[in-house]
Amino acid sequence: MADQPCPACMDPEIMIPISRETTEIFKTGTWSSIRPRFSEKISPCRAACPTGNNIGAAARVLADGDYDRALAAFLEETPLPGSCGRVCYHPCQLTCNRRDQDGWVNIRALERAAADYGKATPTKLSDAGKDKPVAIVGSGPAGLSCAYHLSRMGHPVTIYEAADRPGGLLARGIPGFRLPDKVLKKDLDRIWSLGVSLKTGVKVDKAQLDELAQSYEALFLSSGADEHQELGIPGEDLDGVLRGLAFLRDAHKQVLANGAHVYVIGGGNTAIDASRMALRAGAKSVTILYRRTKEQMPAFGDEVREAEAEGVMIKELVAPVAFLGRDRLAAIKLVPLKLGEPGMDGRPEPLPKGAQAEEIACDLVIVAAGQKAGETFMNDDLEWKDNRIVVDGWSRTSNAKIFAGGDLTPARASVVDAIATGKRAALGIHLSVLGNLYDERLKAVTLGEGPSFSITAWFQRPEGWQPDKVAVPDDLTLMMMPPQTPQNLPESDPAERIRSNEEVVQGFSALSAIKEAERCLVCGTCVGCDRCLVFCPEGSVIPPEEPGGEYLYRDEYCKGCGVCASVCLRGVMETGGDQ
Amino acid sequence: MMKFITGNTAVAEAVRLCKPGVIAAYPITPQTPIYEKLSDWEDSGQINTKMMRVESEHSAMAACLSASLTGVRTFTATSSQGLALMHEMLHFASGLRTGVVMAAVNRTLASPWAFWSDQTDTLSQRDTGWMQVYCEDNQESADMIIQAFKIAEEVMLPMMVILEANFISHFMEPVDIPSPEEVEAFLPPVSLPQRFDVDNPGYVSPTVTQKEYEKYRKHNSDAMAHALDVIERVDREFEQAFGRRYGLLETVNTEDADIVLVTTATITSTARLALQQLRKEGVKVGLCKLRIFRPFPVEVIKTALENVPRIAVLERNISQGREGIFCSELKSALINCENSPKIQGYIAGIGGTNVDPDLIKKVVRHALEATAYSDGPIWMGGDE
Repeated sequence: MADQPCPACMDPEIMIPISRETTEIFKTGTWSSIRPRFSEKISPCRAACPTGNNIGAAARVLADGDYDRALAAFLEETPLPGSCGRVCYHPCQLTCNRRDQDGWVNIRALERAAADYGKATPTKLSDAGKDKPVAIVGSGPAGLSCAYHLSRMGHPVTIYEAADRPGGLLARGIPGFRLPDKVLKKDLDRIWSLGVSLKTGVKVDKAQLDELAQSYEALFLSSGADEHQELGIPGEDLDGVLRGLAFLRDAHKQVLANGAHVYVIGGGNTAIDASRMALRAGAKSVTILYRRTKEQMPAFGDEVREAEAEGVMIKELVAPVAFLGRDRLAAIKLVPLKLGEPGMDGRPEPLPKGAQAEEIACDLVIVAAGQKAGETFMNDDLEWKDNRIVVDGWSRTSNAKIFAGGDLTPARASVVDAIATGKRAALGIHLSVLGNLYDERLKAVTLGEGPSFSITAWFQRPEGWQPDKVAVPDDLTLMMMPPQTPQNLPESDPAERIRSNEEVVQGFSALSAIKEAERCLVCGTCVGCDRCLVFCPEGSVIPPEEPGGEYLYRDEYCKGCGVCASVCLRGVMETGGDQ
Repeated sequence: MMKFITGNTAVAEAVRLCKPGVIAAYPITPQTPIYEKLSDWEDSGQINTKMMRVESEHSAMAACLSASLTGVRTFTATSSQGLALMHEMLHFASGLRTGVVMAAVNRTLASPWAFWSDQTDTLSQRDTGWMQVYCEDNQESADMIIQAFKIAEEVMLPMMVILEANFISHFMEPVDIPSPEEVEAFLPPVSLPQRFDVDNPGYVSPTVTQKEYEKYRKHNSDAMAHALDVIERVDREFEQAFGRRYGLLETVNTEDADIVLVTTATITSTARLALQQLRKEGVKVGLCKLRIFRPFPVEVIKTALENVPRIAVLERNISQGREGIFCSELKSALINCENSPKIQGYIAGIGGTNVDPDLIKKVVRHALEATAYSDGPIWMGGDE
């Protein structure tokens, strides 16, 4: 024993089992039949965007500071990036894969930055529609969207607008502090540049509708839901009781709010806009009366938050039962309510609480409890239901030549959803007048589970494009992502901003927009980050020869462990591709 | 510098002085304060160590042994279920001749669930090829961490420094924490082999033949035997540097003893007091504190106990179906003596129950008066 060398002084190379030989003889690929698959997908934000904006593509070029190409990417699917970049309720952001990590990418502000800082011309998709003129009734977001896309497909388009200026609720509804005129003008000018013609001051009635149907290949109805919805309670015609949209549209009515205690009835965006406008008109106090609670308000959360910051008060669970006053409004009679079981729309129904009604003294009431469609086409052969025109998946009415969209149809009452209906109708009209309308073909360009789709992809799409597959890496994978703090979006001081009509939310600076765009993972699109290559324990991932190409694998060594897929932050690599 | 601190803090202080390059651990009561303390210091920049957040103790050990193979000083800490979960990786750590040092805080293993002191968790890892030392108090725990890095990195075998839940981990005692300069003079910079080199690639733990496997096991066995000399030498060096020495084991009043009580860890401290009282009462009783368990210091044990007529082993662990584990080990160490002592095992303190001086005196008197010793253990509690 004593003669033995010290066991701790042994050559380290023979002390432990360690091999310096190559492991190439081990064909680990024979161990499993599971294989990785390079499978690009679409991003969840794109699938959630009603207009199907290619957000990832836009953010990617924006991150390189290329605002022009970013705007061009948006213009492939939407005609109104400047407007949507301000007033959209951004369902895209709710699905952002960063949401539960370091916060969603502020996509809406990126769209705004692209529109504000970029220059781009909409691309032509086809000229097949050049002999097929189409008439559009109403120039709100739905009509504009339909006109824009039809024009890109070659159709001569004429828009008939009842008001003296185009834009629908964008121009005559959404106040300037949310959407300045000059921004809308930029969006509109881009549409006119395509050759769309506009006739304002033309209110289309049933007779004219028949006439238009004769002289055009197809019609698109998008005259909106512009009529005031009465509450149906005593005193509604008293002096001092105003209508929401009328208040927003008429500076003479807004003056009445100066120095007044104002009460606004309703919980939608019009109610919120009217209350904020009243503050700006110099109201002493503004209180929203709503029959449910804030949680159930149809108004978008951002707007409610901004209104409250400005001083708008919200009184929940009350309903007016009468407006009181001799020849002028003096008080509102309110009954308290409580929430009951959920109704047809899933929201709890407000029920009488049984308590005493109260009377509140007030100077001015603005009723903004909803709008309804005008009665212009009500007696036509078009099928109606619940005060809306019935349409199919292509926005087609019961009359094969007439399509409809926006608030005239059951679509969600928002700018982006109106744009989506116009876009769908545009493709529907285009295919219909060419005798080419087949439902199943729409599937090839439907994003995620739909209904949003890509109109550009209808005409040109990459080989193997999988719009039905949405990239959603699991939470553990996303936790490996290095955090990047969201950029601050400046907002003007609430106390200051109610003194003017200036825009409340400021956009990103050019630099912040780039930084925010850099946060976009471009989910579903391979950016060549090499994580699959680096983490593959067998060294069997083969990188692409050219940037943008596919990552492949060595069949004889890939043992299907799936590490490449589990480290892919963009959900491109996946397992399951059997040998 | 004297500090009034818990055993966990004492361990953390010692680890900080040894400057490991990598610490990977997973929280588990009662070890967690060690990791928390080290994390605090990492956060405040008081320790320049890579703390790895891992998803389990199994991963903690995988990370530690891999780090050690890159030639880095490495530390982890765990307890009970965590140690059990580490089991598979403990074999890798020793088989690959790493120098990982672990603080293992003894705690009951489930089921049933409990949080108190019980040595069965670490004793269950007896055959993993790790060195083990059982500490009596906060000072010894801190001192053995410092020694363990020196021993483990020289022998190239991992070492567990074992302290008991609550009695050490959470009880405060005055502890002499040496200065960074003193520790730097005592503990050389890490010099473990760097196994991973991009210019000379290799992979550890390939499949080997039967004969090769046998060869590696023999290497480990030789290293364990060699470790006893290293442990003894490092203990002497430690005494020169810090004035404290522990020995491979410790005996008190065994020379003239009619009976020797064998203990480990915290029961020893109580036993020191109980035995003083018994000596005053005229009972010729001695004490033997076992501390180094792997490698087991058989020769030293034989020298210390071969002429003692009676031995009582009192311990806080149980190998179900046999007896207390130290008792079995002691019996096997003494089997070849000319006049093997009679040995009786006693089980007490299981689940962290208190072992007080009266209980210890009862054990000694019983062992002294018994006309015949049984081969199974005598339980000093557990029936209520």
